[in-house]
Amino acid sequence: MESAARTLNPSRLARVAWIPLCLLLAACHIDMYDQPRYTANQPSDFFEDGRAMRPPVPNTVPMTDEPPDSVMLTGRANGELAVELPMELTAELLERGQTRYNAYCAPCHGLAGDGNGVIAYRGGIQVPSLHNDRLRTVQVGYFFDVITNGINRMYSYANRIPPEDRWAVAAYVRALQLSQNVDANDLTAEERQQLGGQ
Amino acid sequence: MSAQIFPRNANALVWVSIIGLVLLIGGIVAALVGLYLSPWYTEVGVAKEQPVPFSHKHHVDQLKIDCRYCHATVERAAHAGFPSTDTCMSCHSQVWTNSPLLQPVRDSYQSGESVVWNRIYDLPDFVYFNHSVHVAKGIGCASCHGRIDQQHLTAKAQPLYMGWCLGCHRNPEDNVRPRDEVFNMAFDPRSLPLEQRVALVAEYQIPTDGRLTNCYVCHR
Amino acid sequence: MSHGHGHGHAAGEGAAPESIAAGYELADTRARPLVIGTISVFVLLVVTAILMGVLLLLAGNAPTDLSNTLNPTEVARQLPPEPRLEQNPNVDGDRLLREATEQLESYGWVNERENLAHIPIERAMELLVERGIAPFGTGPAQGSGQ
Repeated sequence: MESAARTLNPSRLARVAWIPLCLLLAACHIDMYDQPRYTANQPSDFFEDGRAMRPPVPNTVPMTDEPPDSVMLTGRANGELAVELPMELTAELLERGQTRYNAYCAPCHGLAGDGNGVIAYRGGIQVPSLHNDRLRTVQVGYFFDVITNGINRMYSYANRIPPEDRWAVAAYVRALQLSQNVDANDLTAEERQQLGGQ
Repeated sequence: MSAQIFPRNANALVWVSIIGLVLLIGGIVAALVGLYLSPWYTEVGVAKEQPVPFSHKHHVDQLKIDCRYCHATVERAAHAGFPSTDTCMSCHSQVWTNSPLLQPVRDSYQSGESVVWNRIYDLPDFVYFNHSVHVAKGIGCASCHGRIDQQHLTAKAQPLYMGWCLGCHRNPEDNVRPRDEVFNMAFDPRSLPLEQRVALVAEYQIPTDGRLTNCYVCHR
Repeated sequence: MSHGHGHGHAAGEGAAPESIAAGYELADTRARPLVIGTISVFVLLVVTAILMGVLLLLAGNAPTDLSNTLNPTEVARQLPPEPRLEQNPNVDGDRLLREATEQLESYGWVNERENLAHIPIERAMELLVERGIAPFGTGPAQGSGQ
């Protein structure tokens, strides 16, 4: 009787057929979904400040070809604000600058640089226009310096705009100023026609 | 009398059990599939609680701020870049400076402690998604994030199932758009004729030879 | 057969005498009511769905986002006369962008007496590439706000 029960009895097998279903439970791991490694912006209980992203230690030098005191990174040559771009002025650079300007500067300074951006309007902030004689004659390095270090109420944008793009923005600001303040004698006859009047 | 005879309604019971079992199993499967696709599981359209009730609708649609103003590394890095407290404060040091809603941001700025936001788009760690390549190849923000500029509170627009990823990796021409429209939330790629989109796929050198569906493209 | 059933039911629960005589249940099952029942459940589902659709159509208000249902022209029409505080941020934002874009895409005078004009930004970018950066700003930054 007992030995008969130990042989493969179909009904006995059927009674334990549910056991493989337990494998389903084993599939409920999430340790591949949340792997023990840090991704951007993750909190961390290892570091004291609770962040997985580490700020660079003080006096860290960026890994670029440019020395840390170069015009490209400081906007200054021998302590004086640069009067020339550290790169070639091309149409591509200006277009790049235009997209950067429209994204980062236009909210306050306005698409046209007149200080009439949507944020300035909504927030009731007085934003200086870029179209005045002081800013038209200032060195181009000044714009780089302001973007990098901020000025007055304007915060630094150095953590959001890389140096090359800051120069592109500075160059585009020059184009903006020119577009709103050009000597009509420099224009072609056809263009003077379009100015209207006269 | 000793014969084992079922009552008359036993026949009906057999049928009821059989049909009931089929319906039950079908129902359970349907319910599981429904749950798997439902917002309860996928979190699509479900806004999570955040330390500050930030509205993309207000900042993007009404104030016309470009995506990159806050998500600054989206063109350069895998990670779009979550705005730091400094980024918030570059405006909110001037605007809405007394709002109690912004108290966590001001506290964070003073103390240096991070504001702990709740992640909305949480890809599994075995998926390596890179924002910069998608942006560079003409895939707009709205293709994955939906009309986030219309969301008062941020919620997922896609369940992020692999089949959905593959749909686009198989047919990139369905979602490709000109590069200068990437950050334009209102642009609809399908407003372009198919030939133009196919031309864009070729111009941006998006592989169409099936390489994009190789496992190691996303799983490394 | 049906006679047998009727008889069986009249006699209450339990097997029919014929079945007891045979030693096993003779009566066959009646699948029809069950099948009809199952089918009617599904038919009812479909009918309900259609009915709901019809009712929603008749009611005429599909669920919509009520946050900003007016289009900009309608909103502009409904605004009270100026001066006023900001009424519709979308309209104001769009207007600011439109004005700035027009300013950046057109020719016009800034100061006709001094012969100063504004030109499209594209043209200005071309001009700037021709002239270079340096000639524009070499002077010291007077009172640069430090």
